[in-house]
Amino acid sequence: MVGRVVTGAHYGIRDWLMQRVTAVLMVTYIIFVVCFVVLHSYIQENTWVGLDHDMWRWLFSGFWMRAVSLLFWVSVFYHAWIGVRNIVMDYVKSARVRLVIYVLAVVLLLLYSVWVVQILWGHDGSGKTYL
Amino acid sequence: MKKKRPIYFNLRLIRLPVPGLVSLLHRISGLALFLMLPLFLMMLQDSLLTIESYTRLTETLRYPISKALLIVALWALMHHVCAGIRHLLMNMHLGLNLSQARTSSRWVLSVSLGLTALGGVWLW
Repeated sequence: MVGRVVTGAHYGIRDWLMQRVTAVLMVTYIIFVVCFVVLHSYIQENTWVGLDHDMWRWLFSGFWMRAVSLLFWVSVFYHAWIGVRNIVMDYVKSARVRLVIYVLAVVLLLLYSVWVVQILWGHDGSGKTYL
Repeated sequence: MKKKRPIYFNLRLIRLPVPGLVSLLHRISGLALFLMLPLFLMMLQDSLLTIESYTRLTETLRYPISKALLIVALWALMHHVCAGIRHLLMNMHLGLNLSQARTSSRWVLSVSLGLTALGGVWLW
């Protein structure tokens, strides 16, 4: 049995695929949100005022928008994990330091995932909040 | 006769080719975006929570330092997305030869800078 290290290399074909799937998801979502904001922004006296707060809130009040937004953020966190792991693998030689950084990154990204659920479902689109 | 040649990997002696620069910046921008994640989440939270938090957010974003930070974030995102699209095209075996790769790297650099400039003008 070859000595395997938990912080060592692994076969990355699944990561490679997931990095691309999440990337396409994220770009699609960003283009959609940017289009929504541009189309629903208003202009006053020749200056760009931007999106009305009610409209922004309305966008995030439907179930599907919340679900798609959650999908977007989970993609961000997964994509970020693979990226950070690759960078750390290339530049941090000590297995111990690597492990610490991996654990920190994973815990942080899991916390962000919980937080984003709170952000997306913590308001009801009318100004009431459930914090 | 002894030729003078580098005996170790000296980064300063290497002229980084354009595709290499794009690749390096892809990493740097990705790391920057990762580090800025809590800021993005805070902005989303404040923009959705209440009208008061929304107003507070827009006031905070009016400071020059916030605008500068947003422009850095915008560049990181634009560069990362453009370099990523270039990656995907190459995965589809498009633009694989050296001259095409150089051209597409220059496109990535200029398109992301251009979009950042456009966003920067709009922000400021």
